[in-house]
Amino acid sequence: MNDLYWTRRGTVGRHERSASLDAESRQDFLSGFRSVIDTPLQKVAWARAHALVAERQIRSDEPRPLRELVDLFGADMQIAASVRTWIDTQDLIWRVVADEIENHADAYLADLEAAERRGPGKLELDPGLEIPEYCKHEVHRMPGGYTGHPLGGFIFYYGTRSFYKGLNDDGKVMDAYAASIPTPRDGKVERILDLGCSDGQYAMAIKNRFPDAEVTAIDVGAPMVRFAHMRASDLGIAVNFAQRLAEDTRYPDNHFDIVTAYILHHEVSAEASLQIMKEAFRILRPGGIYFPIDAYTGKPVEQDVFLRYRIWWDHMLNNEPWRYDYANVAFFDEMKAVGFRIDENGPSAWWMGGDKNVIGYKPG
Amino acid sequence: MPSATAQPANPKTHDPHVVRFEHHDLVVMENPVQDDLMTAILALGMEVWALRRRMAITEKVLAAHHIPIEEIEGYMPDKAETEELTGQRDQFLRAVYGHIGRRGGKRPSDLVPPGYNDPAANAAAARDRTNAAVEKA
Repeated sequence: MNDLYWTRRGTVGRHERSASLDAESRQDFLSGFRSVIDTPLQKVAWARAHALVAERQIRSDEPRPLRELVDLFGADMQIAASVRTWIDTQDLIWRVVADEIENHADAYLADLEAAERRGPGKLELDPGLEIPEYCKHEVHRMPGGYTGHPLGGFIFYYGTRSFYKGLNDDGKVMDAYAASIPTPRDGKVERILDLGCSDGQYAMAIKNRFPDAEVTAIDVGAPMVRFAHMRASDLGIAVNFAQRLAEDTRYPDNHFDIVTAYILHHEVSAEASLQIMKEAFRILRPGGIYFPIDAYTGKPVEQDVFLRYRIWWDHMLNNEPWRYDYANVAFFDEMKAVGFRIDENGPSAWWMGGDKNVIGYKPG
Repeated sequence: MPSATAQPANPKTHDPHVVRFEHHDLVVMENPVQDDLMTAILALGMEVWALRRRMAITEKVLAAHHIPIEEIEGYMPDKAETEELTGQRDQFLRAVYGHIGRRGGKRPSDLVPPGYNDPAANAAAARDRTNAAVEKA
């Protein structure tokens, strides 16, 4: 099956083309749909929701029970249509990508296997790792989630092309994130750790920004770190990938100058989120920096009734198992509680919304 | 959806114990037929665009090789090619319309028990979690 592999279809910049023209065209359609149709449709839903709220004389920040909001907004067909198209594009994205990859599974698996011992970075797998239950969900409706499909790294990598609406095809979004990472005041950046690295694109962008630093990236899922290592090896980028838990990294105290996490906290339970903050604090050296990029790090969900509904359906229908928990986490307070001094107005690395991201400084 | 368990279990490559997403069949419109139609229209659009993009690329390749586009109009598929096209047609039908028949019956409201995730309880839980972290720190 190797003749069908992407080597035949080449690359666009750093992006490996899909295994077939049809898969590429379907992804092209879905990326376009998200940009051209879905984004305006979501705006229509917001407008409709505000009209409904006004009709019923509900204050936008009124703490109404969730069930009432689901009944109210869920019964409106314009809002429902915006939910339906989002869900459908999400399912189509995974179906198109997973079908193509599973059709050529032998070739993809062989490529992962062949890359395991290749450099320049190292790959560490832990087949005995006890994977926490909270990690075993099919997040974003992705078949197998982060841990349960041997080709999950490929599926995630190609599927999220549509999430980024094609804008990250050459890693540009990740480059922008890496460029936004703050550095310790003393300027020493020798060791960096990326938590929950998934397909490794962010870790590779970090290495490109800090070429003299030792960059390590960890993820709970073997499918993710195997794929990330293969990609880094293909691109000649020296990142070390390891299958480890973000809340129990097993690295020494005071070891890293910078610890990063990209949209990790909203995909873990509230308890795990807090443990991850504690672990980041432990492994950072005094003066080191924790820079978690995520949405709404400081804005509890109760602020807007429609936002609460949207976060609920993202949680329930887009299968973000911990999204609702996360929206209720007092992120700044918890960062401070584990020992960080924080800057609530860190760089706005979130490419869609422009929200500020918190910076955690380990005192010393 | 593709089967995530098609590959044999191997702890080096993946953990086959997955909490499956269970609401693929959820009805969010007024009735399942509306959901079906919206899904079909979207899938159909995707297939039409894939076809148009392939046609546009094909015509550019043909032109580059000095093959007149008119030959396509007059082409007669043989028996094997006809069977192949029939198989591709059936695959197309399943891709666009295969989901029709969504009869899960559940509505979004069915997934929210009364009192679930109320703001007051959430705020109290967040306070408890922060206080516990402060005490431990």
